[in-house]
Amino acid sequence: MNVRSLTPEGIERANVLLDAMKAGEPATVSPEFLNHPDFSDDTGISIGKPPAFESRYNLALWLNQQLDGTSMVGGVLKIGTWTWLTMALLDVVAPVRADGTRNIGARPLYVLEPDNWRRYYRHLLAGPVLVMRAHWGDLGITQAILAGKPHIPGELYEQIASRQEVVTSHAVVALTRKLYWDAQTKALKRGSGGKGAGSPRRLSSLLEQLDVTWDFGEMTEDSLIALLPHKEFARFMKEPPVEYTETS
Amino acid sequence: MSIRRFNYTERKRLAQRDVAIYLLDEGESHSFDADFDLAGYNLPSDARVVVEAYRQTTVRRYAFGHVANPSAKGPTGLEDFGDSSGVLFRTKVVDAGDSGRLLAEADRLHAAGPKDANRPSLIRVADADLDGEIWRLSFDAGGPLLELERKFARETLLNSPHFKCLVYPQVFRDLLRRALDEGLDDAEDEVSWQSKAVSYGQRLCGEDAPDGDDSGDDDAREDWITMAVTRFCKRHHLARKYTDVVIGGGAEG
Repeated sequence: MNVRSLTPEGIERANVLLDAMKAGEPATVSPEFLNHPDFSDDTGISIGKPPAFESRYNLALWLNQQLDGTSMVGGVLKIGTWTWLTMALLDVVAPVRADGTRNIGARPLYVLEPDNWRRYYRHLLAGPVLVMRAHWGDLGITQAILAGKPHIPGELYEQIASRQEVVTSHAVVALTRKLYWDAQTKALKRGSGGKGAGSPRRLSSLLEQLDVTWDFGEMTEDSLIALLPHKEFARFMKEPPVEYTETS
Repeated sequence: MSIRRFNYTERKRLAQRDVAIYLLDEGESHSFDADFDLAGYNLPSDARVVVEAYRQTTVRRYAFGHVANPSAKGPTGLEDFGDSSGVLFRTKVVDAGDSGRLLAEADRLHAAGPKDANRPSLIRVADADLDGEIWRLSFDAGGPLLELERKFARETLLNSPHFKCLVYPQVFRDLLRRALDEGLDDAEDEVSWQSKAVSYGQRLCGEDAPDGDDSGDDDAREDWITMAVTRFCKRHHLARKYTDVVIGGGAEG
């Protein structure tokens, strides 16, 4: 199918649909809405049928490959395109529950706010795609930060992605994999969703302190680790991560 | 609970007035240049100067050499950003070694340039009925005002190679003359447009403007203004751009 970009009228209609779903109506997104010329324009970008996604990492990888960077690299994020993609992939980012309703969260999760630096990263499609694209040359390091289900970003993502200088640092994102990614189970380590010692929340607080005096843009993962309180993070540093491969 | 942020290495905060970022737009192509005044910060001369351009998760780093003589060490294209709107900049001064220790920083810098409507510019721009003139630089209580004949599309005019190459240098010349005319008392007020104009001229020239109290040294003042305007033209390669875009050919700027 071809990706389309919602017009202002289309975005308004999408908001109405999301409001109805949030109110508990078992609303669906019809093909007529997605393809109606009054509500969207064809971008000329063709994508395949989406597979089942186990994680935001898989989702971001698929979207990056399908879009080939056309919608996010070298240009301002397009609200209409991302919102259309969200509505087209609504079953992925807001799956239907047993009773036929969907759990619809805050609006920035579905309707991109590209100019709002406090909220743009929350978009359930654009957020993980952009984070992965920022580390495209070594995308395996995003495994931990994008480990959540497509509709559940998770504590680690929230703590790291909310700060531009942190989430774009190779050293920081590589550190999140080293600390919280379990290469054997291919899932986050136990305890990485907590709020105590060594947790993502604690790491975020430390990074906020460290970025006063260190340039994350040039630091290596090892030099960043050297700055952490080792006793506190020791429990998460036990297992070395397995090198990333396309199938891991 | 917020965390206390300790500045263990006594990192300095660079004042925005000491780091000037300029967008250089050439049609669809965008790049930037930067001017620094780091003399007052007591930074090691061999510390590295880096400029980062960023928007959302897109970040590009540009090496600007060392504190002793900071200047771009490679292309400063903003291709990764497509449209340059919304791109912010930060400047870092980083320890000469590979420790990554931050010595000074200025963040959330907006670039000045004709396409950035929100730029902190020295010159306001307004449409006006100029009765045959195309542009006019005037001064009122709000400072310098560049008036443009309203029957021309403002952005088209401001971004045309003719206007950039032929008008901007004269506007800059008039701006410096007026700033110096109005005396160095005003220029010592750091937030005044006069001070900003003279300060920019001084950065271009690498030397202070002639003393305004010396009324007999008009020639020195004119020489200083000409040097500033000349360096402004060279910095922005105006002669070369005019040759390439308007005339066609390969003359050096």
